[in-house]
Amino acid sequence: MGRFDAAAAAAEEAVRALDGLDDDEAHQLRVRVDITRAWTELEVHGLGRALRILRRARREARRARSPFLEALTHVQEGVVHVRVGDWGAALAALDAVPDDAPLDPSQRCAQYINRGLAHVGRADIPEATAALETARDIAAAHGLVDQEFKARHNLACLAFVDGDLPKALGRMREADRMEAAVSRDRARLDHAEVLLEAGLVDDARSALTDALAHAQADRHRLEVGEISLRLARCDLLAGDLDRARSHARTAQAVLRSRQAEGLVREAAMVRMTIDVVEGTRVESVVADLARRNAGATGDSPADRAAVRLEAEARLALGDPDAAEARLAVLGRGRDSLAATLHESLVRARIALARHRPDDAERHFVEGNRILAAHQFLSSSLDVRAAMALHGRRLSSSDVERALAGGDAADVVRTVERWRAVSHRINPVSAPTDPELTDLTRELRRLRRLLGDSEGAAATALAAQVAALEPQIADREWSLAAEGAAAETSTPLGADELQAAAAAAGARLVGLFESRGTVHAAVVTDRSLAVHPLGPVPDLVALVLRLRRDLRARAVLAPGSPMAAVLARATASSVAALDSAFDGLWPGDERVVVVPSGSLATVPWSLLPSLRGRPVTVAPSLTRWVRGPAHRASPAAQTVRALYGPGLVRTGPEVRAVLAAWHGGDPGDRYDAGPASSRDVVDALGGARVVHLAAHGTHEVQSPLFSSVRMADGPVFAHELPRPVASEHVTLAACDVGQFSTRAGDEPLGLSIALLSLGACAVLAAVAPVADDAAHDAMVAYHRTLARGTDAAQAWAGVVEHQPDAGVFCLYGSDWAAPHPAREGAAAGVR
Amino acid sequence: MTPTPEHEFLLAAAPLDEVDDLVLAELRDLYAHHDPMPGDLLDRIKFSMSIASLEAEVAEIVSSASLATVRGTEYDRVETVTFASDGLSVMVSTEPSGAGRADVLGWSSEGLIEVELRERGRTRTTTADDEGRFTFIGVERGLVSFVLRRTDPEAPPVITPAIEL
Repeated sequence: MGRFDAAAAAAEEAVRALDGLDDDEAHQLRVRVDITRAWTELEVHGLGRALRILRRARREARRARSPFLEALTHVQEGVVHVRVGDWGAALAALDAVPDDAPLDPSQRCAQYINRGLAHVGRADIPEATAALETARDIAAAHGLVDQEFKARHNLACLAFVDGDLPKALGRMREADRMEAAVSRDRARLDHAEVLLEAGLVDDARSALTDALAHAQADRHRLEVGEISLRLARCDLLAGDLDRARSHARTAQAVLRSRQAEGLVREAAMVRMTIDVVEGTRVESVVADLARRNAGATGDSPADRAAVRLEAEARLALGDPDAAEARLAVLGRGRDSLAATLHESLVRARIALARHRPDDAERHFVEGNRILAAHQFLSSSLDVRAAMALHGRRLSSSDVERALAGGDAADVVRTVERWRAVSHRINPVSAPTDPELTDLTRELRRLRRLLGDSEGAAATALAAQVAALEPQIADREWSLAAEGAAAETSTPLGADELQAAAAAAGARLVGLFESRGTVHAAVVTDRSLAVHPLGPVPDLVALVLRLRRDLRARAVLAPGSPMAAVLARATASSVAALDSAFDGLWPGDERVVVVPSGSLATVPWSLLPSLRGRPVTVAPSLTRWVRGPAHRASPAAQTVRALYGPGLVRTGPEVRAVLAAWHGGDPGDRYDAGPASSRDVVDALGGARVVHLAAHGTHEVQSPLFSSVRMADGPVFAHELPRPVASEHVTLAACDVGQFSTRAGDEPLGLSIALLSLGACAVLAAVAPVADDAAHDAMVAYHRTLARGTDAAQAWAGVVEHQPDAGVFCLYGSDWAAPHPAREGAAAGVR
Repeated sequence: MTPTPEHEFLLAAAPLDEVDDLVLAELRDLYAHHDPMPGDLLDRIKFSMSIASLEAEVAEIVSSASLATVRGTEYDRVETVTFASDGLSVMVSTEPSGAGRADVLGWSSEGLIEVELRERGRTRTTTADDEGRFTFIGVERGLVSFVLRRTDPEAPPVITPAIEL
């Protein structure tokens, strides 16, 4: 229950009740009370008092000649040391329990669980696995549900330490389903830890903030300290140093009051990390860490982290030799992704300080390879994107290095190295997950009901939706990638990109941000150049202004006196944004743009300097060149066109699109009405070209809940088939061409999800789209496409005649129909 | 003969006592029940006084509903109001901006006009840009109105009816 004050009071009362009794039974009972109360004393008064009580209990147990009770004191001492993060002391205490001690199965479980935890703390995977599996088996054999829950949850933590996040999240979910009467607070903290390692920092922070409120209300001081410590690490990872410092300060004070020295040291490490990142008090950090690390063997993850930080701090003081000497003690050990990337960063910076740029680049490349390898373990688009957060400092340093060097080819190669790393991995594939399917089906049902509800019913449904969405995200995070299907490919260098530009007759423009400035790296068949474009906030303001004008224009009532005003305002916003890219794409060749995160909602085809020119917007240049090619075995059904409810022109549009591909009169085609979500998933799983005309929504905060609305409710990015079989998808809907990026410039959204899952090219809009304008543009587009014109060229022709359709753009790679019209199989309208 | 003052005159001259309070409270309850004060009366009084003091034209609400023929459900919820008066049209739209607040985005048919946002306890002023755009960030939700002063010194200011953000 976790009511430590009440437990301490009850134990006091029990001791008083036993006062004056001098028989064996009373002695033994007193020992048992002491063993139990050591736990509550730890929480209420700290480690010192807990250990004193246990020592007294042990003396009494020996006096009473009870090997059983004596063994129990050792088990409990191990438990207490585990709780404060002192793994060595915990193992020593647990090893003191004789093999033949007469413990019952529940106590044996406790012994093995805590032994396992201590080994987890030291990252000793084989020992931890053996201990936790023993505990799990004993618990299962004796029907000890609570112990089995703990053993299983800790096996999940072990997968986490072993770097397998999907497995960790999956095991945590399985354990959490058990009907165990165990407080889930600790489990939640561990869950937050895994989310943090996955880079899902906002989700981790929200779980921890909830837990903190409970811990404060229940006055669980040790817990408050530990949660604050983890919040500080969230802040640090997200780059919010002020908040990190405040959380670390709280953690240190609280943990010190409970003498949890292992955890106090961890909190001190976080504070020192902040100092080093900020460049403040670095001398004193070096002095403190030198003391701490003297004679360190670099065995435990905590020791290794301290050594790395000392090296970074020494480097910051201008002493690369001392930094390198410090790192030399590390050798090879098991580290988390964050820790490994930190080491790459420090080693790269040491090389830079010694004017060895090639060595530095080698470390950056290695860090990048490790990041990609970790991303590849998960089939969750969310986790793949979020993990890039751990590479944030490494990628910034690498790009700064390249920019400072002034070699355009190096800048192009470096930017490409860090760009949308998750899109270099082959299309995400994973078996269909029945649970994810069920959960999204339920969400669709609720969302649909919500759309038709008002008042109290709507409030209740909104709460249900809000509760279900994190469950779906959580399920998606635990999906592992199918091993054989996924491989990372290396990013392309400048020479290869120039060759690709020559082959396609294209100008490649990669936009990236460094130290608050947007730059453009431009690659053509003959030249490479890098230009600064301007401060990030200025460009963001221009994009926001255009976006607002476009939105206002979309909601104008017919005959509104504001039509001319908004047409003028939109035109001026487009012109202002266009001038920010002045000179990047002279001439009339085709253009490939890779936008940085801040430019995710730019309607590129709408810019006057690009109007009528084939434009492709790619997650990375590597993705544009190596995007999934045409399928080896063409899908049986080549074109599917589907529409959602609630719009007048979508039905006729779908009929005309099918007529464009298969001939005949659109009016002749049978119309079965709006399609269902199942139809959409089936189409994307089988047809070569899929056209979807429906209401669309981009969710900025949770991009994988972006959707198009079908007859039975929305189809979410979360439930797209893995892989998507369709080569080209047209999303004739509002907004779903937008994407959101987390730190690390990994894009996420509905169109981007289609690309991640295997679609070659997606046509979609970044702004609102009028029903009739979409109809006309889409029909014209498919007619051109069906004649064999490539997608970017076909769309350029459409925009030339219908400039307002420029809010749509082609995403991914270039694509053309391999078998021009008239030979496709029959496809009915749905 | 000087008439003896009536009893009620004497009472009226005396300070209010408990009985007066009781009677007034009952009267208030009676009116509150049978003929309550309109909820927006105070705002209307303030509004009328503003018009009088500014010698302003009152804009009419031209349209307040979005007729969404666009392919996004989100736009059903966009709150947009258009006002017009004496050749000047203004459209304002809101975007959520944190708890209990909204960003107000506006477009007017004339550029460079001065726009005053009247909230309950305060006013803020900005100038529309060349294309007539103006923005107020983080406005507390509730009733607001706008006063628009045109660049032509002869043109009277225009005040909009209060709208709920």
